[in-house]
Amino acid sequence: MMRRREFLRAVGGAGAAALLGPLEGGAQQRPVKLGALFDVTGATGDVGSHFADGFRDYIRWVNEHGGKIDLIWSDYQYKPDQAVAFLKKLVEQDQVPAISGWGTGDSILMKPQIESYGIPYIPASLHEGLLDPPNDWIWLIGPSYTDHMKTLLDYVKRTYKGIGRPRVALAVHNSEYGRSPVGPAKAYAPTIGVEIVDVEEVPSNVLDATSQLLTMKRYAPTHIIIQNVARPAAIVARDARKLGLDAQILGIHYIGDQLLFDLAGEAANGVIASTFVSNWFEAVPGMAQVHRLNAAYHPEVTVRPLHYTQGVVHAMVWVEVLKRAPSPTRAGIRSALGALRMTTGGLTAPISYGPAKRKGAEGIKLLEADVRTKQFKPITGWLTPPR
Amino acid sequence: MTIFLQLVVTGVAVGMVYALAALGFVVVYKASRVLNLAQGYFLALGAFGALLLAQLTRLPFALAVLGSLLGSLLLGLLVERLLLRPLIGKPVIAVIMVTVGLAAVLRGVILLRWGAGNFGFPQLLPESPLRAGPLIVSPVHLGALVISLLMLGVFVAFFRGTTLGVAMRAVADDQQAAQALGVSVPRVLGASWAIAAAVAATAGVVVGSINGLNADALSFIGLKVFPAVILGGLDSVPGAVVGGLAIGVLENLAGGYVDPLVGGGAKEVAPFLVLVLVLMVRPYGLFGTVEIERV
Amino acid sequence: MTVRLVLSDCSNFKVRYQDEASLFENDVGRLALGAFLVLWFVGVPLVAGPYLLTLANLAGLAVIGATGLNLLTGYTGQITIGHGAFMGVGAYAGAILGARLHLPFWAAVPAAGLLTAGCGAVFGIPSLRLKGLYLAIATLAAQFILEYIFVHWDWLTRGTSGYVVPPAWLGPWRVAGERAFFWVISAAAVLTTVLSCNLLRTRVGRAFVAIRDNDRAAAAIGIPLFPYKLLAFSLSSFMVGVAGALYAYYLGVVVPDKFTLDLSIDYLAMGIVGGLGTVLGPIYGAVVITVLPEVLRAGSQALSGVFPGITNALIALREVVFGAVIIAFLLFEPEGLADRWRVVRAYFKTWPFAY
Repeated sequence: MMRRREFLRAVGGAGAAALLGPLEGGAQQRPVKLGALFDVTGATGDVGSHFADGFRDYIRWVNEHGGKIDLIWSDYQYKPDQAVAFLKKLVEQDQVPAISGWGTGDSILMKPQIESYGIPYIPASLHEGLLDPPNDWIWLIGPSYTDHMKTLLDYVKRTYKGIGRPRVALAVHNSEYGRSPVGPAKAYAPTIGVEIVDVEEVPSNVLDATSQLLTMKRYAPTHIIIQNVARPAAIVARDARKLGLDAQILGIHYIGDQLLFDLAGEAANGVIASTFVSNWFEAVPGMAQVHRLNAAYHPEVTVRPLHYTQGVVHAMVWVEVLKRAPSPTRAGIRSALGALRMTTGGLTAPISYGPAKRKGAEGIKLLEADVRTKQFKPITGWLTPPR
Repeated sequence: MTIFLQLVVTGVAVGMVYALAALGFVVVYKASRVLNLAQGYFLALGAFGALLLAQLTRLPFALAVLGSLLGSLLLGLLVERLLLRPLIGKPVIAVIMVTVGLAAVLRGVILLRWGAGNFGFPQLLPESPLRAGPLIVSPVHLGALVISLLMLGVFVAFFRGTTLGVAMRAVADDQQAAQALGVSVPRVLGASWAIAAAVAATAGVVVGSINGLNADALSFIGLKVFPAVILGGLDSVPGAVVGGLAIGVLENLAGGYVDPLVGGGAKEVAPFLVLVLVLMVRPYGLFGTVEIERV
Repeated sequence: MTVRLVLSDCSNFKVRYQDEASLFENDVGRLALGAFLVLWFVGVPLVAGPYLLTLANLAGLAVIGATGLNLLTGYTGQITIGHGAFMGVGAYAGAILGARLHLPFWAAVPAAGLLTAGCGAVFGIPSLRLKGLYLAIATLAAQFILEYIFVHWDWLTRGTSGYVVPPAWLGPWRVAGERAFFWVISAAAVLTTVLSCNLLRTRVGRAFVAIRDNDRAAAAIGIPLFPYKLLAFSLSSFMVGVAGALYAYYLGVVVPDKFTLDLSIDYLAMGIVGGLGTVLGPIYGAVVITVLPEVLRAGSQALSGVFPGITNALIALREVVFGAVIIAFLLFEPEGLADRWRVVRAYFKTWPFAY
């Protein structure tokens, strides 16, 4: 309670001033609508609920400080049907001028509709394929999974000290989200002198990954790169160590979760995670605000995974775009988004969009897991992914 | 060869969990001819119940697990009394669907209290894997094996030794004859559901301690149960155990040998292909009683 | 033509076989149906906004699939837990026929239905040896095997990256947008219901019911079980295949995420809620199961606007409510809404007498 009052006092003034931009226009203070799809209780709800919390918390804070954003959201439970129906409702009935999305599969499904409606859309998914032409209305918040993969491959090449070429095995989720960086990895690796020796698929309800890892072991990989959500990623890391695979383990984004320490124990030590948002424990200026947001609205939660921060960042981007848009219409928002330049206080690399640039924050940070403190420590600054 | 043995060993460990879940399934089927599609959620609820007790009270984990088992017994009794008894005599589709509805309700309850996230039990056993020659076994898996075998032993003793156990076998054999001899069929049905829930809860705790708790991952085991019970025989308790172990091993072997050839997914679909095969060749499974229709 | 609009007799009084087979006793029913159809096809697109049209379209697709399920489970008594996967077969078939073989929309959809019917027949082969629960479990296996095929046979289905469906043309008319699909889907739903209805008045339909009620007796009086069971599987798969193909063209892209066990369970729920073994049952069931999640979502949205703290709890409650609805119907209204409607109608028909 005390914290909250302090917090409000401390930032209320600054916040209100910062937000009074387009709302100064006088009496018409009409709320600006924003649509959002979240997965809170569905198949990816374990991370989606944190994303939803972060997003909603930031919007709530903005509204409590003079903002007027009418967030129309729904938990579509990762069901494509509900996503499509909700999309149509948002556009045709609620007439929102922009939509924040979530999953890879349903974003693919909705893309034709988004293009035909002509409505700005930023999903939480980082699937490169969403930007394939024809694409005028979809932007990504950060580097795609493919970019993460290439950055990790570069890192592997840079740090490999053994004989011959590094041998990389991939352990991916059995969905489009998991598979999307595989092809590009196979194309990119030879160009920098890295071999992709094996690709294994690991589904999210996996109980044990022994068979996949035994197969992988046959190829004697020096590195394992995991593109999977937190639980299966942690299980792969744990089982790899257990079976005597002493390859260096790296993972894209989702592996950077406390669950890694809980499930993989000692095996988590030294795991390298790539991320485009800063970690809960990092001392970047923006993180203080994220902590305060969480403390204000969810005092019982002490630590949040990076999806909470990602939700906050997405909301920040939208608020900024809505502020700068010449008019709260789809075209207006598109023009503002297409030329957006902003920083997030270190939560991500600086965000910018342009005519040929549809990925906002193009910085990837590498973190290393430290079992003793059960935290991820950054080992690089913001790296730019290779083209 | 080592790879083969390692796959088998892991398969047995996973298979024990399937066997436990299958056991509960078979007990219910034997007593009442019901396909319990909510078995996976009994499993999940057992695990989450233990978590709740461990977090709320300061009890040692073992007692929290026991508490969860007792809670599951109660849940099974309630389910039988409230949901199944009104549907006695109704078409089989109704009974299957009521378990489906129950599954949705249980899922909602878990989501309500914990959300869709991942949780973990307190670590009980050392982490470093044990080595037996070239084979590697994690202590948690061994612990799971021990607990499952213990549970089986309790089961066998129960069915052989106690009055209720004998009564359940009688009802499974011939309900009317058992009634004629004074067995209370409703009590037996209630007991069978209670046991099913408790056994599933044990399996849930076992899996939870290996792989963490996640509502969807745990409940999926409830579907893996089907290949196990078909292989073993829908109404055979030893069949459930053999079937569960076999499916666990088979899954791993398919993952190890077939997946590399087809690029993945064989591990998940193999049990169901086996299910279809068994249904075509020997529908009553290895140990099930053959139903003979006489016209 | 004279219109017979008389109060019906309080008993079952028919003098010709024709009368017994007819769907309506007198013209009241026919006129009501006609009026309803006119209202539906003309009135709804005029009045309903795009969102409601979307719901109507999704419900219409569900009606087609549920009618198929009803034929198999309600009338022939074969429980299937794989119906959702067959919708996927229809969707992919429609997409592939349209995109690779360049079949026009009006040909691709029925052809997809036929392909799905074939697939259904294949998965119905176990019914030669299996009955009841065992057959249900076989269909459960079919669900997972087909899911595996959707996700892993990339060369056919493009796996998880989605199969883009070409635009739909009916002659010179481009079928796109909610309203156009509303007419197409509703027409298909009406046709399917008519087909189902008429089927049940024929020999085939009576054979199905005989098989459901007592298959050994049916065999004893000369109904060959296996061919009829296969036919039931085929017909039901045809209908859900058509629903799937329409769905593919409606959305414009097919991903495997939709055709999961949850969908199969939804179809069974539609049967239970609507009433298995009736003609109108699938319609009621499909509408309820399609609309209920939206109603719950809107309700929890509205409530969470007032009480933001319990948002996540309200969302979780949706699952509980869904399960509770199914259980409530099973316990209190096992014959479904169709039966409730029948009872209500009978009450009015026989009023002021009790029966």
